[in-house]
Amino acid sequence: MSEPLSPVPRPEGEEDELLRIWATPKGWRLPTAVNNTVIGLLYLGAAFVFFVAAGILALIMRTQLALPEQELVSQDLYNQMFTVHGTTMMFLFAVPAMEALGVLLLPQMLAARDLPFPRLSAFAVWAYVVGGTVFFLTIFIDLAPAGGWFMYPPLTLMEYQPGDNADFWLLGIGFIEISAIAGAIEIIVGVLRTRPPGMSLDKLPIFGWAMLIFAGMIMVAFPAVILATMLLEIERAFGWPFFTAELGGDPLLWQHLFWFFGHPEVYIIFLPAAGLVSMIVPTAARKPLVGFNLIVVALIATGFFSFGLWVHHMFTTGIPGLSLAFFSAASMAVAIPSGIQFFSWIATFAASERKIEFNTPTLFVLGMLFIFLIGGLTGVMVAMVPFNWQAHDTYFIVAHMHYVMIGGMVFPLFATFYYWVPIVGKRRLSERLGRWSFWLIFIGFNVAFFPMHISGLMGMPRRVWTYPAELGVGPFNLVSTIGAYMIAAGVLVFIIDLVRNFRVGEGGQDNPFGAGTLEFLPQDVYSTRSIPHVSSRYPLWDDPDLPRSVAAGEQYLPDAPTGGRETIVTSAIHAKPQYIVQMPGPGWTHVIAAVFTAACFLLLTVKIVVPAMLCALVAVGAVLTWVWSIDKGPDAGPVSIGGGITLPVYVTGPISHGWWAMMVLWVVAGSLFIAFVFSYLYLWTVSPEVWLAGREFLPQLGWPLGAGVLMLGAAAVMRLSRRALPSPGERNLLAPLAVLAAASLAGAGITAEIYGHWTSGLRPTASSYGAMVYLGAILTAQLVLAIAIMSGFCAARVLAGKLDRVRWASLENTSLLLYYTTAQFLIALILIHGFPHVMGGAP
Amino acid sequence: MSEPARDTRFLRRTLTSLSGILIWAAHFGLVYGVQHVACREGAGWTGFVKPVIYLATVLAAALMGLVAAKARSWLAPDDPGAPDVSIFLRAVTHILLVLSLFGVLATTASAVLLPTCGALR
Ligand code: HEM
Ligand SMILES: [Cu+2]
Repeated sequence: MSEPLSPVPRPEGEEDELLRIWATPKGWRLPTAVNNTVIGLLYLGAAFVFFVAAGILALIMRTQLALPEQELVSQDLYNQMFTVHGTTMMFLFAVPAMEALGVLLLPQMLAARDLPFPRLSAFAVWAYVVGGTVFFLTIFIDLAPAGGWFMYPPLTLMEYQPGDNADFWLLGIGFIEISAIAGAIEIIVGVLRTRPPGMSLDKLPIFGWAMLIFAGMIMVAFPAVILATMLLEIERAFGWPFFTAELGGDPLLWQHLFWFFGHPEVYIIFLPAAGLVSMIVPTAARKPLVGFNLIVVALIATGFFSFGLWVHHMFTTGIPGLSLAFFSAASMAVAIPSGIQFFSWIATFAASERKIEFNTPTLFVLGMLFIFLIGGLTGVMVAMVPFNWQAHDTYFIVAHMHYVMIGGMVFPLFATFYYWVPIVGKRRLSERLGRWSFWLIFIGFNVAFFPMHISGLMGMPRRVWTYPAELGVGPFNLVSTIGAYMIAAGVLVFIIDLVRNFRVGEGGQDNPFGAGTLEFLPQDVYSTRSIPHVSSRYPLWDDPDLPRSVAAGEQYLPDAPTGGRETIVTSAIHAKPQYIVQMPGPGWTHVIAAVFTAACFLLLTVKIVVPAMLCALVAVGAVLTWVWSIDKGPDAGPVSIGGGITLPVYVTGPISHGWWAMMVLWVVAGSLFIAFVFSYLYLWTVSPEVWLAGREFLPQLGWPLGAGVLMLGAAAVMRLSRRALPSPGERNLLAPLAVLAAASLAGAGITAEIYGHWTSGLRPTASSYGAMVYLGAILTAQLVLAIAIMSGFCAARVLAGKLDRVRWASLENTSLLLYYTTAQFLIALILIHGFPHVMGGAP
Repeated sequence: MSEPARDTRFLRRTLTSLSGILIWAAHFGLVYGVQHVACREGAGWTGFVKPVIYLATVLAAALMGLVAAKARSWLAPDDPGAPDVSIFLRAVTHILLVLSLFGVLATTASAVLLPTCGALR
């Protein structure tokens, strides 16, 4: 019972004001909502629908495979089905479901009113819903890709897969990844900067840690596959030979890039799920998690180690044995942190002083432990190179990966549904139906997938639409199919439970399971009535009075001092209050932007270029309108948040959340660029002769020098333009001119680079060398395009009196992007113009 | 109104805490890169691979030792009265160092045991 931080009783009408500000739009305006609970539910719901849809495809496949030599689906349709099943499960279900839980649960766990960029997450969700739906629908019109979920060239090159099918994968999935990155930016800044005062990093709930690592991994891994999809799409559309061996390309480049993303992807899915388990287990045991520090380390180590594993998917490609051994070693190293988490969960259960109640969430957690353990063991088996050679591309792998993914992710997800429904719903889900659902899924899963280990070892290859009876795997397949139907029944029971018992809204018990973390505080649309001061890992256990105090408005920020949506931003390590962020409310612009971005990509897929460009214009226009009103300026502050703390409502520079988002963006762009440098160097090692021939086409030194000077000039002018900004309340012409001049210089720089190569006679279609050179320019050019648009935006804002010396966040962000671009461009110039001289290879 | 509290030394604290695993990553990238390139280039290059790997390993281990010795001062709390975060970050740093050292040694062990470029049969 500590002293109230804010004076009580709170004034009449204060809560109504909060309710009004945070109200969810009703009726046809519902799509404009940005509240993290609404958006998070939409996100999670969509992911679940994709799970069911891809599951139905799986059932059809299993039905086809139930008996030898059946003809239910054709071979080609089967190929499309496993491709769409795998792709949907990985890209449209697993990652989005975890990201959705981040959006839904993080602000509640951090007692923040919302994540720092509400419209950005809403944008990401809508883009994903529209893009994902269209992608999935292609299966019904024979337009679905058929190259497997990892889409290896040369099979996926135009020659072997004509038609738009593969392009739907490339553009559709590439686009969804961009949306995932947007979500990751939100999560990183959210976890680091919107924690409640006092929640220093050592008190951040494990799920927060898991999401932080998850988002960090997305930042590094997804750019690699985005680059890969760019390469393949460019090769398919314009014939730049990145993967065509006779022109110096290499199909293995795809495998490197894809698995540099693809292996971490498995952990990207698993880590948040493990984080969820680390939240549920302590509650079930009524004991703090054993080995908190160890678990944090395990999450971090898994995140990093998982990037040293990618080649273990390529053990059969003829790479030298020692290289394989490096990756095999890392594959074993990564098992240690997983083991740490396992033992910690078991130890926490063991530490419990009361009888563990086997309620539905606990059951699903235990199911996960069992299944994931088996998946992990077969994982260690396939990490051994000699065994891998035997099992590669058989049903043993299908069994292994489903044990890992369903055990590691689907079971925790169902535990999550049962455990966290009370914080968004009016009542709990049914325990009785929950148990039915659990046992059906658990038994069904093992019945379905365990026999696949055996049929695999007996020689049944994966990705076959049927098999001869003589192979002797018929009985195992029949059992597998029966198991698949049991899983389906279990999922159906869960859906029935949802339909009967899930009602969004307030009511019921706030903390039915007796958890210790903040998401079980009393909540309403504004999240918690006031934002608590946190001084331990399980505040609800350590201060039983906290829920009352929070609900009475005794803690920080019980009101809405700026009259709009806002939350407290705290420092990244110590969580000291720094300022109040003013956040946007509902709106159409981000929805329109999302829909038209999706439309643009989809039209490009089917090569309808002009309407696609029109959609792009609409999307950009919508984004600009949306961000126009975001920067609210310092006028409403400073404000008092209680506890004697007064905070500004507007900051720029290294403490602002916008600056942090830009830093995250630097990392994303940097990862993309590093993936490019890797690809460039990789193709050189494969085809040094093409590089040697390329030396002839190197432009005169004047071209790169000029280009570099122009870009540096752009950065300098941009830096100076800040000085030219008018004082608050005024406008001028000098600042807009300077900003636009900077953008023009940058444009001139990248044009010089491209033109230099062109006049020297280099063509991107002639060899992989040329293709790489022009690709490097494209990577910079797209940043310059963004800078040009942002500069126009800044110029307009100065003219409108909305950008001045104090209120200059837009210009700050533009400058930061330009500084990054300059650095990347200079490195690229040195690589492209210097490397062939040094390492062109002796004739 | 005073200036809002800044988070002092975020970058230093983060890099120190993560140094073990960052060193592992650098070691891994270097070792794999050198071996890959040397084996592609062939004759004249391959002899360097193993010495480079061993050297990198010694260097990595030495760096890790340095961090271990310095962690306490690099992670000293802002406010001596509130040591929680520093204790936590120190624990993270040290455990990560141990795990990463294991990773580095596992990589090196491969180099001890296998020929530089030969494919497995
Ligand atoms: C719910 C029950 C599920 C069943 C019955 C099922 C069944 C199947 C089947 C029959 C295949 C095709 C095997 C082949 O022909 O090679 C397959 C492939 C695959 N599944 Fe599942 N699956 C399920 C859930 C999942 C989940 C939850 C994920 C991921 C989170 C997943 C990811 C994959 C992937 C990545 C492939 C490989 C696709 C490819 O070869 O390109 N599945 N699954
Ligand atoms: Cu892997």
